[in-house]
Amino acid sequence: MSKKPAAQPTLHKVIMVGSGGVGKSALTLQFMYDEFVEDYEPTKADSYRKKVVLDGEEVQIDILDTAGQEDYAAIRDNYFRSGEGFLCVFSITEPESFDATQEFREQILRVKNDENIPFLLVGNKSDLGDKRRVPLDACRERAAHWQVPYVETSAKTRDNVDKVRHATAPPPPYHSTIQNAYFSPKHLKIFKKNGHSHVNAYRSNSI
Amino acid sequence: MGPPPVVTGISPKEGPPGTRVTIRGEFLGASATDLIGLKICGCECLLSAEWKSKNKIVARSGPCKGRGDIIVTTKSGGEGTSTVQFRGYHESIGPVKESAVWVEEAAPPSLPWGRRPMSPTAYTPPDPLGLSTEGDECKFPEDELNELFPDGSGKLSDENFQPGWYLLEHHSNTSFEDLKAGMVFLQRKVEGQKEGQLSFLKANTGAVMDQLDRLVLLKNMYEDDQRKNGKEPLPSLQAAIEESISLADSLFSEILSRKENADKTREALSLLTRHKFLFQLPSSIDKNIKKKEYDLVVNDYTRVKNLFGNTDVKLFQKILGEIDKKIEDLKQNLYIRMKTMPINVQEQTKYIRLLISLNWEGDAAWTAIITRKEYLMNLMNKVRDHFKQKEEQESGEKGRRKAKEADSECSWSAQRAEWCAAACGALAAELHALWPLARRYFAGELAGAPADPQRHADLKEMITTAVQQFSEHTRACVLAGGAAPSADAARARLLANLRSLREAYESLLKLDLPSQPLSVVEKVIFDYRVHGMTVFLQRAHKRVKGLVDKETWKIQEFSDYGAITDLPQLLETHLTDALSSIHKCVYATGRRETPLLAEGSEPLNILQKHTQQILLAFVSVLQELALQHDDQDFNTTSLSVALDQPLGEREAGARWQQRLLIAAANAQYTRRCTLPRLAAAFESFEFPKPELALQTTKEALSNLESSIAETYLEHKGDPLVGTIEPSMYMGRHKIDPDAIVDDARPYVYEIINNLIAVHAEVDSICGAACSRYVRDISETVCEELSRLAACAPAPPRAAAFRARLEASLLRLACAAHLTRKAENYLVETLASIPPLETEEEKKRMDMIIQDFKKRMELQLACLNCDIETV
Repeated sequence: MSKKPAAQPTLHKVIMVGSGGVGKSALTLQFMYDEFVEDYEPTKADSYRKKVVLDGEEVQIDILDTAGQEDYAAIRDNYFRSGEGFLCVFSITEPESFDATQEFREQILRVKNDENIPFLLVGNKSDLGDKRRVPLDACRERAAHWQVPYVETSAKTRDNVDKVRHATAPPPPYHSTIQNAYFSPKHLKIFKKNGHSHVNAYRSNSI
Repeated sequence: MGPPPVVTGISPKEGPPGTRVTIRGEFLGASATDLIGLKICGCECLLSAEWKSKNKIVARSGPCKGRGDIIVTTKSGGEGTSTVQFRGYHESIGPVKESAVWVEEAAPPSLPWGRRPMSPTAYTPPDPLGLSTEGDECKFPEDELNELFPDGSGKLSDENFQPGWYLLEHHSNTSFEDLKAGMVFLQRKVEGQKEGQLSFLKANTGAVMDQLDRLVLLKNMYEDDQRKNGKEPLPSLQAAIEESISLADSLFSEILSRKENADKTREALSLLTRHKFLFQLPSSIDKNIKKKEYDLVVNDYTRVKNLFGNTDVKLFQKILGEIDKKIEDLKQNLYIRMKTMPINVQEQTKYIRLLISLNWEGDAAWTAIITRKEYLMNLMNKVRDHFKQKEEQESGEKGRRKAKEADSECSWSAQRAEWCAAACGALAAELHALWPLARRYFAGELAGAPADPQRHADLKEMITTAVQQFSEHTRACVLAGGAAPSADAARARLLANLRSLREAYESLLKLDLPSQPLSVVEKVIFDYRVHGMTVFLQRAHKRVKGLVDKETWKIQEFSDYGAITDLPQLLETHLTDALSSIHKCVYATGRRETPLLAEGSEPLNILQKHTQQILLAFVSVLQELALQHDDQDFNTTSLSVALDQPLGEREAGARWQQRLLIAAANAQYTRRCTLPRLAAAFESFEFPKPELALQTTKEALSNLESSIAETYLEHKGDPLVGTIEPSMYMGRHKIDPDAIVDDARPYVYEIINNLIAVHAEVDSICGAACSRYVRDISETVCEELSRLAACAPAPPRAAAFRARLEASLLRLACAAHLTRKAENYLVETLASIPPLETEEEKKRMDMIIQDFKKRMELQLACLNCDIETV
């Protein structure tokens, strides 16, 4: 969607989705600033942007950290519309959040109208293994069902966060391994085209 | 300079004004104080910013609208950049809506039931779909709308209205069912408009008919009215209106004018009270001037100048003019006061300051300095004139009264001392005032920096002139002649004058004056000291000269050098007196004064010269005393001893020969004892020894002694010798040449007696020193004998025998006093006499000599006695 092609590095818009309190903001802040925020403060909609090197190319990643609470469900469509890739986060200690991923997935697909939208299923709070209530198998099963990668992270211990961050190698999409570049440029290119067509379609529909 | 701040995160990314925003990024400042700027969408939010860490700031968004960068500015990194943006939007706030900002309840912007007419700008047309949009806070991003509908608009009234935009903007959250209902509503509305006028008329036939009736009624009424009042109803109306206007005018004009007057008065009164200060100032200035509270005046004046200096109001200008005049008068007054002497420095400084603060045109401080200097000069002149006049007056009186000399001298010196003290006091006091004033002036404490660098030189010259005048006056005062009445008085006067001079000098030294005027004063002191010294020495000189009349010829003591009177003692006393006076009064050196008797200095020469003069005066006194005699005296004393009057007949101690001898003894004593003692005195007073003077005096004394000795000899020996020849030939023809010679002739005894007399005289006065005189006389005697013997023709035998006998006897008698020369003379004499021929003669000679010895034992003892035994 970037309209400034010139010297500006390519911009990739990533949206964090998931139920309230699963750790979307914590993951984002850990990724952005290597810090873990203990305090819980419900997010409305936060915006972060940083430069990273992907596949030898310097790109900007724009992260939109959205609100998980149902109060804000109405405005989600707006956000999703501008997203180019999604991180769907749930907490492995909270089955409800895992169930909610289903709704998020559906909403995203509905808004984006694209089955192949870059999507990553993230099971957070892996440091709380003893309180685990969502079996790993169930997670993997769902990821496989959706044909998206699954990764378990801990925003607190920074487990696997780097992997998300340094995903460089571009293997075929929809692999279930974490190393698979979720932010793969190739992916994003495809997505971009799709995004445009989608928007155009929307416009023609809405008129 | 560190790296500039970069904002990479914002939470939340949008919100209405007052949203609490967490800003994340890098280099957001090293500390809370490092953060100096935070702009969110162009709104400065530093006031609400809370610095958490170098990666995090929490702030509240400002009243911004639209999307914008978040710019952080730090001291260490400068203005930063932002990779994320914040969007501010303004919510429409209704009664059921929470809001972070306070909404003025008195004027709810868009309440549908509000009674106030809505302003056109705030007017939002009712929703065409008949749906409420309240609570729809989910705004569809504006830029996206712009993107979707590049040349559309969401406003219903716009020509390029895009329904899609409108729906997205207002109904993005409206459910599809609602939208459908809205659609039905809208269609109904449109159809309602389309149904046309016929149906409208049908539906409202009654009302239309009613309106027609009313119109007819109205027309009839109008026509009636026209008939009644003519075609033109306006003139009468106009007349009525004009009448009412004039009536109203007449009713209210008086009240209005009164009100106007009251207003004016009130205004004037308030003006008066507001500018009471200004109006009362002239009188308060007068009052304060009377009370001598000039500071208050200056204060008020400065205030009024500041407040009204540039006023354009005529009245104020007038008052200001009045005040200015008063201030001018005051300035003149102050100026005159400042210049009016005598005045103490504090007061003068006060006046100067006042003048400066009143913007006196001239250099007040400098004028003060000059005035002071003039005053000092005048004061000194006055002091001089006053004392001169007093002196003249007194001298006039003295002339009339013929007062005693001593009294006038006393008063004179007292006058002078008073004068000197007064002059010193005046100088010291005035310079004490002038110099600090000048110093403060040049230090810029008065009137800022001195305008002219020349002033420094001027001041120096002024002070120098003043001091020089002072020095001239004091010189005229203290250095002028006038003999001192007595030593004590002179000393006291000198000390007093010196003290006042020194006090003045001390005080000038304390002032830290330039060296030139100081040296002038110092010179005065120095000269005065020299003058004092000279006076003392001159006094001593005079007194020594006066010793001539003081000689009593009373023998004070027998010294080793003979009998002396008190003359040498007096000399010593006088000189030592002078020296001690000098030492006491003027020798002592004050602070920063030149030593009086420095090596090779003028005063030293004066001292030496005067000492020499004094000593030589003493010598001449001695000489005069020794050689002073009248001819009569000489005549009587010049006779031989035998013819001389007995000693007892003369006054004791007054005999000339004795005086001569005493003078000689005095001279010798002075030379041997007094001079070394004087030298010691010089040393004890730490004065340099007057070597030259001592030497010269010694020589003069020696000469004097010799000349005295010669004189004595001349007057004593010559008559003695003169008697020999006549005595020798006395009764010569009566003596039988052949008669047996059994004794010497009488002249021999006469010689011996004379010698005894001389010896006795000399011995009584000169003691051990007498031998010289006796020797000299014996020598002349022997010389005479030898001359006589040589002149005599060859004597007969008996005569030869006698001659030999006489010569031998003389030799025997004078044995103790014979010099080699005298011996030679005697031997010559004996040789010229034919030798004795017979043993018998020799025997006889021996016999006679033995007999002589026996007979003259007493006399011989007299002559030969040792001086020491006396």
